[in-house]
Amino acid sequence: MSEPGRRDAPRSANQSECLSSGARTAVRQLLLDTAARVFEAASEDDVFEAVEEGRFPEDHWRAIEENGLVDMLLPEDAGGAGVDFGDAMAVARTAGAFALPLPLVETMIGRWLLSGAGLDAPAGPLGMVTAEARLEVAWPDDISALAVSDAADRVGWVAAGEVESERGANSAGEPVGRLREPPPIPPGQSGGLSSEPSPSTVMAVARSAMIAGAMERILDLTIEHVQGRVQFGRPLARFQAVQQLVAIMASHAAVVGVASDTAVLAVESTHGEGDRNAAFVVACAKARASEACYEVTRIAHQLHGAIGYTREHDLHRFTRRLWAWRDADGDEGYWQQRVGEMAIRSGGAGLWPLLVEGRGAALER
Amino acid sequence: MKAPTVHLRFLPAALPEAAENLRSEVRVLLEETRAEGVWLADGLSWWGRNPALSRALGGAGFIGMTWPRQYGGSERSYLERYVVTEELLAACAPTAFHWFADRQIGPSILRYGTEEQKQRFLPPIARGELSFAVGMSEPDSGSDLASIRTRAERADGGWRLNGSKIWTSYAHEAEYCVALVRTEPKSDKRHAGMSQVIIDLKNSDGITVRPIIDLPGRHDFNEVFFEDTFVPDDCLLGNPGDGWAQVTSELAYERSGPERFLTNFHLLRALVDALDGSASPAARRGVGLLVSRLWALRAASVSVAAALEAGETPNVESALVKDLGTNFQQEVPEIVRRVVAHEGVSDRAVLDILHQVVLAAPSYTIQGGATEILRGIVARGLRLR
Repeated sequence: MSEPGRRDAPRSANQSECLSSGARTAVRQLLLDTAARVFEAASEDDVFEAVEEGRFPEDHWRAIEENGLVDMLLPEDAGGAGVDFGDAMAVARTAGAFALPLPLVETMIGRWLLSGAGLDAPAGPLGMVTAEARLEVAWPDDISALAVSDAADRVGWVAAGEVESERGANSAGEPVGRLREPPPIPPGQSGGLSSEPSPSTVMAVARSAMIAGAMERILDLTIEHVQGRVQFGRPLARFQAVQQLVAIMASHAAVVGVASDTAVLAVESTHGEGDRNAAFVVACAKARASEACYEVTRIAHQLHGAIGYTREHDLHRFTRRLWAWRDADGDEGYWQQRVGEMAIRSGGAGLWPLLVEGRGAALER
Repeated sequence: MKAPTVHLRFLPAALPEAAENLRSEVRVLLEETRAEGVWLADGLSWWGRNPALSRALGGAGFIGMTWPRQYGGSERSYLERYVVTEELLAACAPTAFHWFADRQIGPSILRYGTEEQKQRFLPPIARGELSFAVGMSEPDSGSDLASIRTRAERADGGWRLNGSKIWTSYAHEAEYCVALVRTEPKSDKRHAGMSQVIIDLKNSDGITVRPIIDLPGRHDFNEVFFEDTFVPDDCLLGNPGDGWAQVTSELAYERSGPERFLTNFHLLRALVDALDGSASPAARRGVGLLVSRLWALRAASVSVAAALEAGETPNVESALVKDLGTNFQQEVPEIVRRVVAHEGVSDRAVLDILHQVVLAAPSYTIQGGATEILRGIVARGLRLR
């Protein structure tokens, strides 16, 4: 067991990396403390009430920008903080743990991709559209532009006002706009993708991290609930049937967490060196994360009973986001099919190397 | 609302280059011995017992890898052993001859044994020449291991054993068995008064081995009866009364290993071989479901292996990996069945393995800690009990 709320940098078996990994851990912890403080402020009841009514929480968005969280991936000479991809994904995970109702991850990755293509991104929150897996943007009336990666391996941006989309809301009650296909990018607003992995892979790993964070929270809420709620003269936690369900939920949450972290490592280490390994690993991680949302939310609601099925308890903020996020950036069926295709293409003899070298390549840092 | 409490510790882990480099060595050895006819992948995976393959692996330094050189080991890291283990499993190599000694009995002897015991048993285990069985369960003690009744009573120069052990795999073939027995009568302290003894199965009087045929129709289970069986003093392992602590201390190694999710990897491999680019989207998703779960389980298992290597005792995390891993294994044949039916796969190789795996599947979630016990351990780790 580690200390409450503490997340560490990845474990390295290489002793000589200890010093730098210690320093990295400190940097990450500082970043996460900042993120948690800003996200906590954005998780007050009135913020969620405004979101349900379709009002964009401007103040909190500004706080996120002012604390450098939007541009942290950009190099310092481009006005960013130049943090590791892993640090940014740890922030995404923290956003999940606070059910952050703002398009931070889309904007962060969108601005990063645009900057990499030598483009100046418009100020303000962005939507993100990828040719393969993502045709839904959050907050269509409040974003300034859509960052778009099209099928021709180009990335660019389109002003939000120039894009038509079907308006609706996701399971979490956040406004969304649904597109049929990526919008054409106006001349002068596009550039070549500077590096692999592909934008849809990057968005999928970020979404997996958010799912992992929300699951961590749901597990925490559930443990707290079953320890405190007394029925038949004893806490729910004392019933074996309850213990077994919590254990199942914890297993799914834990595996999604380590799968997401492992996929982040793969993306980080293959960035700029080709997409193949990261594509496999991230496809596995998002398939697993999306798939696990059912069991985790099912058990959380079962154990919370009626109070969990209300808006008086916080649980719904997290379970509703899992239902939205499991579909966002490719649902489990989409990614399972991708994984299946890669496995079948590799053939029986190539299946094991695919499984271990997806990691192996990621680990040679 | 503060940041959520982290209840379980699974850091993403890196396998060091030295471990990765061993992969090709294992693959070459397996390819060569298979070409020579030493072994064949008959679908039993690690449950298959092949003394010749174990000797070849021992000769190459792949048994007792983490043990000191003076006892026949090669002083490798636990992560290097992990890579060798998973390569053996992925190749469906029969390793039961040395498996139990390599995984749990050897490490116990190394940790609790006398100098004489280490010199006597560890080098031949590491050479792949000495096979051990594990005597834990009894007819009335399955999941409730602390209720065992087999007793060892003081005798001149040693102990007299009476009682029986059950589900003792390969007791009819192994040279030795390490058994957990009572050396003191039961008391209020459930876990006190037990000890581990090393029993010479081939050269002791008063031992009867009764075969038990398992569901698939194979003989690897046995019931082993002891009637005044003499165990000399130098075959007591560790201190009298410490048996419970000794057997439970190795559980993290036993539970989180890749054998908990790779036992029927050959079925998945055969299915992938039987499909091609014309496979339906549903078939691709079926394969992808299994491969993605397997990949994620391995990430969790490697994480636990790295924690063990770092000297931690991730017992809760290990129980969790075994629970998810064995449940995954159990679902593999069910999902493969659907793909096979949907795609009209008629490849004999797939159907034969599928048939075998369906019959073996109920055992996965029972052996080495039943699902309900493992979930109880996880629940305790979450402070629910």
